[in-house]
Amino acid sequence: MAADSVNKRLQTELMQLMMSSTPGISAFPQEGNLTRWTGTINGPEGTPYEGLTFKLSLEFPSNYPMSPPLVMFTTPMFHPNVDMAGRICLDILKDKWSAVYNVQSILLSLQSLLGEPNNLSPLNGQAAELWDSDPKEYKRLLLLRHRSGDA
Amino acid sequence: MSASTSATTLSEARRRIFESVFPPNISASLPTPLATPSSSFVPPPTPTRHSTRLNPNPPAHGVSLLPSQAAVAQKQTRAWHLATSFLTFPDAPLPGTVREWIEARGPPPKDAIEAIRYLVLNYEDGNVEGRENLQEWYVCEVRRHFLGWVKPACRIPENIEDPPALLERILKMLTAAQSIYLYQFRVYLLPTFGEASPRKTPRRSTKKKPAEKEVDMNDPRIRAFIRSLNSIISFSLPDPAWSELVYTVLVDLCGLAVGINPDGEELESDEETETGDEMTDMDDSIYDKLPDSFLTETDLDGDSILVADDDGDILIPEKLDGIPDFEAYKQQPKGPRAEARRKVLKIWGAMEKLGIGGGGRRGERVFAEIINTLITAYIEQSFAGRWESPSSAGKELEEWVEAVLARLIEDVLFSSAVTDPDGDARLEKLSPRESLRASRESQDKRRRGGMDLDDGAGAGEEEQKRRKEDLESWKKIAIGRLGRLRVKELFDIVVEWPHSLGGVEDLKAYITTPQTRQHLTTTFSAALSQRILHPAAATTDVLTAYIRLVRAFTVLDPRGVILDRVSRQIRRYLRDRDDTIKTVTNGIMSESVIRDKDATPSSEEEDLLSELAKELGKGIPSLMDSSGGLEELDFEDMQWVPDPVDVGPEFRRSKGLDVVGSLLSLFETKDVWVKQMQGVLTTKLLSAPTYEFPTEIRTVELLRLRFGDAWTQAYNVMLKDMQDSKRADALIRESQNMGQYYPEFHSKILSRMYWPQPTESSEKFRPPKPVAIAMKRYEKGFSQLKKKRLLSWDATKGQVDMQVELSDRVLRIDDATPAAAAVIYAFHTEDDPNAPLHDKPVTRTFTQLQESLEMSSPLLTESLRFLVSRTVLVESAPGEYTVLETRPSQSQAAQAAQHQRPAGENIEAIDRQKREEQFLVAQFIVGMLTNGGPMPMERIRGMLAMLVPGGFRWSSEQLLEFLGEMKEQRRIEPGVGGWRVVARQ
Repeated sequence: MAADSVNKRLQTELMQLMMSSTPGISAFPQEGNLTRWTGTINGPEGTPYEGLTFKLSLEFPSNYPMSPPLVMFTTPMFHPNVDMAGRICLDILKDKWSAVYNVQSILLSLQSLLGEPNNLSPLNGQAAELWDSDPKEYKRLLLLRHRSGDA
Repeated sequence: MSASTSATTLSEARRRIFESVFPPNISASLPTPLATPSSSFVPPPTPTRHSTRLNPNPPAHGVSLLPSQAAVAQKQTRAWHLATSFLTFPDAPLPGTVREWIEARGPPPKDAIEAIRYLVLNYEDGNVEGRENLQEWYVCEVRRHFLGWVKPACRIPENIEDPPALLERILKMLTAAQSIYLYQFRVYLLPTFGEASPRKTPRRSTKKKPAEKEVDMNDPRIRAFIRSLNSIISFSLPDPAWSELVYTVLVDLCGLAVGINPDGEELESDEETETGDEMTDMDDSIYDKLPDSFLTETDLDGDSILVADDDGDILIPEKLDGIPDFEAYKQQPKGPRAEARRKVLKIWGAMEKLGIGGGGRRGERVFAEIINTLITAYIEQSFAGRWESPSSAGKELEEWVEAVLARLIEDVLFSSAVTDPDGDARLEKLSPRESLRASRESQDKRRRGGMDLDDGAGAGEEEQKRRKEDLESWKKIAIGRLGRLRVKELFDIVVEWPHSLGGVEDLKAYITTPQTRQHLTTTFSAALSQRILHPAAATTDVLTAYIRLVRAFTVLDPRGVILDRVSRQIRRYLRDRDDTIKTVTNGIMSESVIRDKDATPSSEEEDLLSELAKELGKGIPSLMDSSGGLEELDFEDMQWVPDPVDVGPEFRRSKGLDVVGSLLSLFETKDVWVKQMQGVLTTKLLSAPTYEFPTEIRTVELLRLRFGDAWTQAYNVMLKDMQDSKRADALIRESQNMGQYYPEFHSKILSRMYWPQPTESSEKFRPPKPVAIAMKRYEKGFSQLKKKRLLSWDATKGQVDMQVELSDRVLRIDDATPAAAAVIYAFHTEDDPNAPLHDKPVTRTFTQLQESLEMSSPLLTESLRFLVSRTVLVESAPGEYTVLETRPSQSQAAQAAQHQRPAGENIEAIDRQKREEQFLVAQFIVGMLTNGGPMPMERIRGMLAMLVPGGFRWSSEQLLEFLGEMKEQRRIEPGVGGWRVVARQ
C-alpha cells in the first residue's frame, strides 16, 4: 500500500511538472522505476553557472513525502554546498524537509542555491573561499570540473 | 441336412458295394476338370445315361450296369464336357431378369441335364473331387462371366447426371446377374444332389417346396456360393465412386425420410413404423429369399417357373415366387417421407442381398456417413436460429432421434436380421445395436460358417438393453451436434440476447467437458474477432456485444470461467478504443438523459445508454461475496465446488457477474473513469437551468458504492455546490432586487477546486450589456453574502433562454449557450430599435463579430453554427452572416440544421481533447529526453505507456508521426541513440 501511495504521489507530481513546464528545471523518472528520477537544472543567469546544465539524481524513499528524497548531482559540480561526490547540503533536503515540498520546489531551491550559496557551512571549502575572493578562478575551476563530466 | 441324411447313408452303402467290385482309383487319372477346356473334347455320339445306381427309375436309356473303368472314365469325360458346355455362360451381357434368361435359354437339353446329374450324383459320395470340381468350375465360370460382362456394365462415370437412376440401374443389373447365377446353381448343380434320390421323391413337384426351402436354407454350399459371388460383386464395384454414388442417393432419400426437407416445407410427420416388413417378412433367412423379392421379379407374382425336362421332371426355381408382401407397399401411407423411406429400404435391401450392405460390409460405412450427415443436417434445419426459451430443442432432438432416426437405422441396418415369419407389420423384436457390434457379430457368425445373422432376434433382455444403449449413444451424439451448432451460432445468440436464452440453455448441456468448453471458447473468440473486433465496428456496437456477452455467459456458466476466457480479447480491444471511456461513461451517467427523452429512445446508442444506466441501478451483486477473495475461505458454503480445470491464471470468480463492474475494471486505474464522469456530471449540472438534480444524486450515490468515498468526493462537492447555489442565488437576488430587472439572471456558484479546470482563459467574451449589468449586480450581492470572496465568471458555461423576434416569426431558443446569445445580441441594433431591422436584414462579418465580442474564433464559429442551425442566421457569403428575417422553406432549413449541427459539436470537442492530449504527450517526451538522454522511439513509447496517466494508447505510427511534428517545431531531433532534445541556444 505504501508503494502505491508513493507511486500515486509521484505520478501526480510528474503530471504537475509536465503541465507547468517551469523553464530551466526538468525532471523525469528513469526507465522502469517511478521512484528514481533524473533532474536537469540550467544554471541561473547572472551566476557563474549561467549556460551550464547540471544533472541530478532523485531517489524517493518508500515513505515519501514523509521523508525527503535523496538528491545528488550526477554532473561534476563545483559549489560551496556540494561535495566532490555530488552530495548536497541543503536544509530543506535534510531537517527542514516538509511534505508540502515536491520535486518542483526541490529543483527550484537547488537552482537558486547555485546563485546564492550558503558559505557558512561549506562542503567544499575551496569553492566557498573563491566565491567571494576570486570569481575568475572560481569560474575557471567550475568549467574545468564541468567539462570533466563531459569527457 | 436332415432331409438328405438318409439318402446319403443309403448311397454310401451302395457305393461301398460297387467299389468292392470296381476299384475306383481310375478317377484319379481323370484330366483335371478345371483345366479342361470344353472345346478339347470330342462330343460323344450319344448322350450318356448315368443312372448307375438309381435302379428302377431312370428312363429307357439302358446303360450297362457294370461299366468298365475305361468306360467310366470316358463317360465322365463326356459328361463333363456336356455339363460344362451347357453351364457355360454365353459371352454376352445377361438379360434383365431370370425369366428372360430362362426364356432365352429355352429348356435345357436332356443330355446336358443327364450329364450334370451324372457328374453330381455319381461322385456325390465316393468321389468328392468330381462333385466339388463341377461346382468349383461353376464358381470360376460365374466369376469369369461376371468380370467379363457384368462388371464393365457397372462402371461409374466421373460425372453422374442422375445418381438415383444410375444406382438403380446398377443394382438392378447386379441383382439380375446374381439371381441368374444362383438360379443356375440351384437348379442344375444343387437340387440334383439334394433330391435326386428317387426313393424319396420319385417325382419332384411344387408340393415339395417347403422341404426344399429347408434344404436351401441350411445348405452350406449355397451359402458358400453366394459368399463367393458377393465378394466378387463387392470387389468389382469401384471403391470411392461406388460409395459416393450410394452416399449421394441415399443421403437425399434418407434426409427426406427423416424429415429433412431441402425446400423447407413442413412435411406431415408420418412416422409410421411399418417400414420393416417391406423387405423382411418373408422367410426365415435372408439368403433364402435371395432369388426372389427383387423388384425385377415381382411380375412373377407368386407363380413358380416350371422347367421341365423331357422326362417330365419339373425343375422348380423354388424361390422365384414373387414378393409376398408386394401388396404391403401399396398399403403403406402415401407421402414423400414414406415414399423416400420405402426407396431407401428397397435400395438397401438390394445392396444387402448383393453383399454390399450392412453387417460389416462397405454399405455400412456409407450408411454411417449418411446418418452422420443427417444428424447434422437435421439439427441445422430444425434448430438453427431457434432460440426460444425455455428451450425444447434438446428434448425435441431426442424425440426425433428416438422416433425417426433410430427407426430408420434399425430398419435399414437390421432389416437383414429381422425374422418375421408371419409377415406381421409390427416388428417390435428388431434387434438394434451399434452397427459396429452388428458387423462384429456377423463376422463372428460368418467365421463360424453361418450366414443366418440373427436367429435369436427375439426381444431378449440383452437386446433391449443394447437397444437402449444405442439410443442413448445416438442421442448423445445428436446433443453434441446441437451443441456444436449452438457454438457456431453463439455470436448471433449473444447479439440477440435476451431473445436467445433458449440457445444458451442448449449450450449448457453441451459444455460439460473441458474439450467442449475449449471448443466453445476458441470458436467464439474467432467469431468475435471476425465479427466485431475490427476498426469498422462502432464502439457502441462492441460495447453492446460485450454487455450481452457478459449476460449470456453468466447464464451459460454462472461461475464465470468461460466468460473470463472469452472476454479477455474483447476487453483488450475495448481498452484500445479511444472512445470507450466516453461511451461507457455517457451510458452509465445517462439516466437523466433517458428520463428527458423518454418518448424517443430509438437509436442503438440510447439503448445501450439506458442499458448501462439500468445496470448501474442494479447495484453491485458481486460486492458482497468478492471482498478480497475471502470467499474462497468460506467454510460454511456447502455448495462450494472447485473451479473447472480450464480456468485462466488470473481468474477471479466475482469478475464479470456484473456488467458495469466488468466495464469499469477494463482499465487499471479508476482515475480515467472518475475524471470522465466528472466531465459528464459537470456538463449535466451546468447545462440544465435548475438546481435540482435528483437523478444525478442517485447516480453519484451508486458510483460511490463502486469507487469508494475518496474517489467520488469531488462529485459530492459538486452536488453540494448546486444546493448551496440555490440558496445563495435566492439570497443574492433578493438582496439586489434582481427580480425586477431584465434579463432574469441566475448563477451556479462552483467550488473551483473540485470542478474540472475551466478551459483556457481565452474562452472569454464580452457579454451583452444588460447581462453585464446583471453580472455586476450579482457580484456585488455575492461579496455581501460571502465576505472576501470573489466571483469569477465562466461565461462559456450556462444556458440562455431567449426569444428572437424576426420579421415573420418569433423564435424561442431555450438551450442557447451564453456565447450564442451574445453573438445574436450583436446583431441587435439597440440604438435604433424601430428602424431598419425589418427592411433590411442585418449583416455582420466574422471579423466584426470577433472584435466587438472579443471572442475566440473557435467559440465564435461554434456559436454562429448554432445560430445557423436554428435558422436565425444564414451565412450569406463566406465569413458573412445575415439575420434570416424571413424563413425559407421549412425543409431546407431543417436540412441545413441537420447537416450542420452534430458534426460541428463533435469536431470541436474531439479537437480540444486531442490538443490537450498532444500537449501532455509532448511535455512528457521533452521531459523524458531532457533527463534521460536520447532514446529510440520504442523506448519513448514504453515510457509513455508507463507514465502517462490514464494510459497511453497511441500506435507506433501515431507516435512516430507526432515525433515528426515535434521535429518540425524544432523541439526534438533525431540523433545518435534516438531522439533528443534540441539544445537551446
